[in-house]
Amino acid sequence: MKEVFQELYHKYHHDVFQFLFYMVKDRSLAEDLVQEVYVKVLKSYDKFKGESTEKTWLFSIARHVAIDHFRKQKRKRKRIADSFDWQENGDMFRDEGKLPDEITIQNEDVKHMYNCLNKCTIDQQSVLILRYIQSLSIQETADILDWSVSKVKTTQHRAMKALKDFMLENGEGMESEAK
Amino acid sequence: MKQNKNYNDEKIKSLLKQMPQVEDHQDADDLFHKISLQLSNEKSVKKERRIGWIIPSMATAVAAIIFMFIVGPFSSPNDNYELMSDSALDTGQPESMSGLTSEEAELLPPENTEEHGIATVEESSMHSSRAVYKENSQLDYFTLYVTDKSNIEYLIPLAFPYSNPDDIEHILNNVHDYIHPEHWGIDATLYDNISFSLLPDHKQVVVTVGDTFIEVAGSSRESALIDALHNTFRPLGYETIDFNQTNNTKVNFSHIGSVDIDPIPATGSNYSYKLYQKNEETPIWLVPVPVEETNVEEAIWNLQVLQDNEQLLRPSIPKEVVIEDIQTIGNEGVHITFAESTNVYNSQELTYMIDAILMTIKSYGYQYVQFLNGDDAQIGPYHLLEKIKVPDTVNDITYVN
Repeated sequence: MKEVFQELYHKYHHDVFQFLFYMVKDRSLAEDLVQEVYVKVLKSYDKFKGESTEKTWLFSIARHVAIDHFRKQKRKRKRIADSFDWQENGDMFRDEGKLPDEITIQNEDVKHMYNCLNKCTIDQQSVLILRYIQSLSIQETADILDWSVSKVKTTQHRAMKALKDFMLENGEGMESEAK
Repeated sequence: MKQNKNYNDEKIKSLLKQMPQVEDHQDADDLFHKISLQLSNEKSVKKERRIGWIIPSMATAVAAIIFMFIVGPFSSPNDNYELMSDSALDTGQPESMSGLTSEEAELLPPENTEEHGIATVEESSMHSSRAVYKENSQLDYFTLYVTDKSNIEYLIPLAFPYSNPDDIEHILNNVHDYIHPEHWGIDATLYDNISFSLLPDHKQVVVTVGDTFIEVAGSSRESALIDALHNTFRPLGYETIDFNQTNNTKVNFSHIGSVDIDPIPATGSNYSYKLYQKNEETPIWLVPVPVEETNVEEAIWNLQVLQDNEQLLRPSIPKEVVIEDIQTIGNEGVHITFAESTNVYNSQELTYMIDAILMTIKSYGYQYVQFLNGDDAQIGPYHLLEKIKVPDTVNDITYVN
């Protein structure tokens, strides 16, 4: 079991951890979730049929682990807010803690983008992270998300537009506050 | 007024690509250990789930046993046993297995066989045993000894699962990450300021003792550390412990003096295993109590009584159990005969009793126990009337995590 872990860790750990980090925007939570990813992977490694690449398989599991986390979080808070549209208001339930060290040292535009990324839907974030932060191809992204290539392209287009709007809107808000 | 920024697609893509690389600061070995423990814990939960599922089939087995007593009063005890075993197998195993998904079935440890007197999980009752049989697990185990409290009355063995021998050193050097003293009612401060380096090729353990330990430890603490290390490393095949202080000088304990290369005795002491539980909120642990008795019969009798200095413990053989005779069979086996008046039934207390007897006879070098004249064919995971092999160790930490 350790050999399998070591090999996966060596090949993909950085990418998988980074994907989870940008999905949940919390380092210690990403550490917990990456552990969960390996537990799921090691439990089912024998059943991996090689229909996708190991890499897309791992990312696919990581994405489901992240979504499971959001769902659990949603269920937990549902006692407080009975009616809730996850797709529309998902960002309400994410902690807006202080920026991680890696982000604080970046320029204002990058910091602004990090905050706005959080406002996109889960699907939009998944596509943006995989395509531009992880530099995966459209086909690899489609494999991970188990979508068609055209759905990836459509979601990517909408995600770019949404992110642009958030960047402009929130930038305006920030400017007003600063005045 | 809109912000004067030109956030076009190219700018957005460019900014996304500028998002910084984020590294995981966790150590890979640490991560693997957490994963191993989680997998192991999930396995334990699955076992318990299976045990819960078989209650109906056990009820069927008990009904069948009662039926056989009613209709077959003239059969010999041995005949009854054969019938009961078959009945338990017939009603237990297939029904339990059908209640599992293929994934769950795959993750379960290899099933044990009747030859060692250990029932498969499907056959066993809800009474859990503290005994650990490596052949039942996908992981190997080593046993680390902690103490009951900081001023030390007893050493408590804890069985840690591992998948690679290299893991042992890691666990030893991070022991406080793996145990929960308050919840478990134990104390692990014995290992504060102590680090380990294992040299399996030289059969030697290098133990570096921090200055704090040297300065504050009393004589019982120093002796406990050495006894604990002997008991921990002997089963792993180590022969010597090289004690060092952090400044690379040889250790000079305040009370027991200078210790350089400490040979690990080839054989351990003889013990009676009794029960320790700090309070009702904490688990019950099997604890070895050193005994002077030179023969195993006396050590077994000793399991039913407490000595004056054993107030923190409980006898591992309940007083209701009357043992008529104990006989050794060559150098390997021990036969224990219950009195006719003793009602031996399936219970948690009697499961612990068998655990304790097995570990006690193991400390004397015996390989198995066989109970005679018992009323019941099965207690916890044990087939009472078969030869029951001694376990590899006790107190699996994954059962209490």
